[in-house]
Formats: sequence, C-alpha cells, structure tokens
Amino acid sequence: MIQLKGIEKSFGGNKVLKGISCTFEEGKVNFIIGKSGEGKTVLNKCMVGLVEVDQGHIFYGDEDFTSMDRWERKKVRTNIGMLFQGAALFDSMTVEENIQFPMVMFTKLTRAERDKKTEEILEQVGLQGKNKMYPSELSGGMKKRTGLARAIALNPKYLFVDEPNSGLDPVTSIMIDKLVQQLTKQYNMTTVVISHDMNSVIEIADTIHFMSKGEFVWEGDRNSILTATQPSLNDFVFASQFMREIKDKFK
Amino acid sequence: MPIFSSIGRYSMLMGRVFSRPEKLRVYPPLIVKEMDKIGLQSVGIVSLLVLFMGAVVAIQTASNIESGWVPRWTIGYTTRQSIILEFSSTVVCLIISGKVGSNIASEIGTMRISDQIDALDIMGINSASYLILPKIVAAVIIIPFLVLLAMFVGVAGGASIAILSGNVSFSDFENGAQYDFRIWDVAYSVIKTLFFAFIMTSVSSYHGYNTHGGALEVGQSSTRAVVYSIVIILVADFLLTQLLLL
Repeated sequence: MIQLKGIEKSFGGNKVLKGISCTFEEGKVNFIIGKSGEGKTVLNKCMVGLVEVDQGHIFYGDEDFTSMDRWERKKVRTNIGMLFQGAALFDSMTVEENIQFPMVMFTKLTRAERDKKTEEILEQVGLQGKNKMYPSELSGGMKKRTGLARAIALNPKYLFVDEPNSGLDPVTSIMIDKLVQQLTKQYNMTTVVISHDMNSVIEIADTIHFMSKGEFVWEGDRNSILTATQPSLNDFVFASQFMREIKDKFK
Repeated sequence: MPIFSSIGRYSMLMGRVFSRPEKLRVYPPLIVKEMDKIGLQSVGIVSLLVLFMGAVVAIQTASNIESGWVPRWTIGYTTRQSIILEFSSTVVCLIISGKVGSNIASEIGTMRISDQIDALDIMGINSASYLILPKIVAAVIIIPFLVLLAMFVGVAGGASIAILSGNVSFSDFENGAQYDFRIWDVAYSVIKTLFFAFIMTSVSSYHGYNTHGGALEVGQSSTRAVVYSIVIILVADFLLTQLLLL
C-alpha cells in the first residue's frame, strides 16, 4: 500500500501539487488520470523520489519515504519497479542484460540462477527467444514488455507505470494493459498507472484518481466514472464523440 | 552568477561520482570497456596527428636554421622538446577532448533525455557514480599511455621527415634528441595529462548529465562539453606549467 498525505510541490511561484492525499491499495491497478500539464508526472516523480516534495509525506507500507536518507531509500527502491513512457531500456544492453541488470546490482544470484529467472520473466511477458536482441531492434510493444520485465525482475511490491500505451496500436495497448493487470494480481503489487488513455482506464482500472490543477478532484472506479457528475472529469472523459455516444447508450 | 552556479553543480556532481558505489565489483569491467573506448580507439588518430606534428616541427626548425653557427642537431633537440613538453600532452589531450568529450556528453545526454538515468536512480543506483566514475578512472589510467605513445611517434615522425628530406643526418638528429634529456620533462608531461584526463571526462560528463530537452539539446551539450573542456585544459596547462616548471 502507498499512502500520500498532503503532498505539495511548487516550481518557482507555480504550485503544481496542492495538498494531495490518497491511498493506493495493494493488489489493485490504481490509475491517476488527467489532462496534460495537471501535475500527474510531477506527482509520479515525487512518489518515486526523483523530485523532493515541499510538504507532506509518502508512505510505502508503514515507512515514511519522505523522511528517509539516501541509503534508507535505497532499500525501499529495491521494492519499486517502474515502466517509463519510452521504456527507458539501456541501449548498450541486450534484452537479457536489461532484465538481469537489477539482479546483478542488488542480488547475489549466480549466472545460472539469473538466466533461469530471466527465462521465466521473458515467458511471462511473451518475449521468449528475444534474449539477445538490442532495444534498437525491438518494436514499441516489445520495448514496453521488456521494460515491464525489468521492472518486475526483483519481484517488487510497488509498480509505477507511466503512459503505458503511448505510441502503441490498440491491440498492443490492450496486450500491455492486460499484462500490467495480470502481473499486479500475480505478485500482489500496488500498481500506480499514470495515463490519459480512457480505453486503458475502462479496461483495467480498479481505482481511479482524477487530477485537475494539482488536486485530486474525483476518486472512484471504472463503473462509477461513466456516471460521475464532476464537470472537469466529464469534460475529460467525454471529450471524444465516441465516448459521448457510449455515455448516451449507457444511460 | 551562472558561472558560480555551474561550479557548484559540478562540485556536487563530483561529490556524487566519488561517493560510495553500490556494488564495487561491477566497476572493473566498466572501466576496462571505457579504457577501450577512450584509449585504444584513439590510438590511430593520435598516432597519425603526432606523426605529422613531429614532421612539421622538424621541417619548421630546419627552415629557420639558416645561420651556420646553429648546429643541425638543434632540429632533433627542438623536435624532442616540443613534442615531449607540449604537443604530446596538451595538444593530444585537446584532440582527445574533441573526440571523447563529445562522445561522452552525447552518450550521457541521450541517456538523460530517454529516462535511462531516471531508471537507474529509481532502482536505487547512484547514476552519477555508475556512469561517470568508470570514464574518469579509465581516462586517467589510459591517456598517459597514449601520451607516451605520442611522444615516441612524434619524435620518430620528426626524425623520419628531417632525415628523408636531407635536412639533417641520422646521427645529428640522434645527438640532438639525446642532448640534455631530462626524465622530469616526461614526468611533467604525464602529470599534466592526469589532470587533463580528469578535466575532459568530468566536464563532458557534467554537460551530458545536465542535458534537458531533446535531440537538439544533446547536440548543444556535446558542443559545450568540447568547448569548456578545451578552455579549462588550456587554463590548467598554464597553471600546471607555472607550478611544475618554475
């Protein structure tokens, strides 16, 4: 479980996060949605410690991440996996080396053990036989799957996923969504997905937090989002003609 | 003042680079790989350039010796001193700065804009140390050897051209090249190189690490890395020469 309590962050005089509090539950796919420039990415960076918060506390389980020093955070970080928007694979490493990198850095597994675990993970994400390929040889979907494979290499308790579907076709998008959902349930992870893709939200979201102007203005699940009355959420969800037609049919 | 801000950020980055690494045993292979990239892959270009530098110094010296009072072995002496004191260390390091500095800045800059550095940080790895320390250590180890090679090739190039063009006999060049030889001159050059190696890798890494934006900014960081490295190397050359030779 991840708990946010009164998170505030400003850049210069611009207050980007305005006292955000919420709980992301274990074993669930928790979505943070909102328009571009509303503070989703900043909040994500605060949660993983890439940006320091001005006010408030972030709890991983019972541990206050915000008050930890670098070495204490390092222990928590080994329980965090993250899939970046562009996958952020290490270009100079093969698929196999990318996946094994956290194992090399943080475990005492032997080469044979690492290879065995890599094969298992590759099978889970559907990339068997791609061990020796470099990121430049992979398609967008394969990069994301490799990124996911690296993120779960140490069996993390917390998984952050930033825009999992950007640049992917609808079929591959659904495949990545389902993979995120399946891994979340399988490892009982607390998964936080940053997205503005409504297809993903409807497909796999267990809880949804809608962000507007640096605040969570609505929270609910995928069943309640279509009947919500919050004006800015409605503007966001039903921005397209397609979604408006769905809403009319839903009524 | 932006310059003080840059010095402050550079110092903080170096503090992170030289802080305790996560897992020491992953560093030796990285250092060996960097030694290959920075040093061995520069052997060709360095040899070619100092060969011609030695030749040009020899020809220029020969063309300036018109008086019969100046012995011909001066060509060997001047070539040796120019190559050992300045060309092999400073000029070679300036050349390597152009090649290696831009490479380092663009490599780290690309990692920055494609979130690879953030990925390292989120994993709990000290990205500054993991990415920059092997480059600095590799350069400080391998570049002095390049400079020693440059000394040999430069003097040999000068000797070949001076002798083949009939400006000086082999024995005259040999006498000049051996005249008043002090091992301290070689040591002085190698000591300078250690500082230059540190400057070129750390300054280039700093510019790459602090890249923000996209492909355009990576190119700009790369250019800045080379320009700043060259300027700082020249300033350091002046200061070290004052310190070591006077």
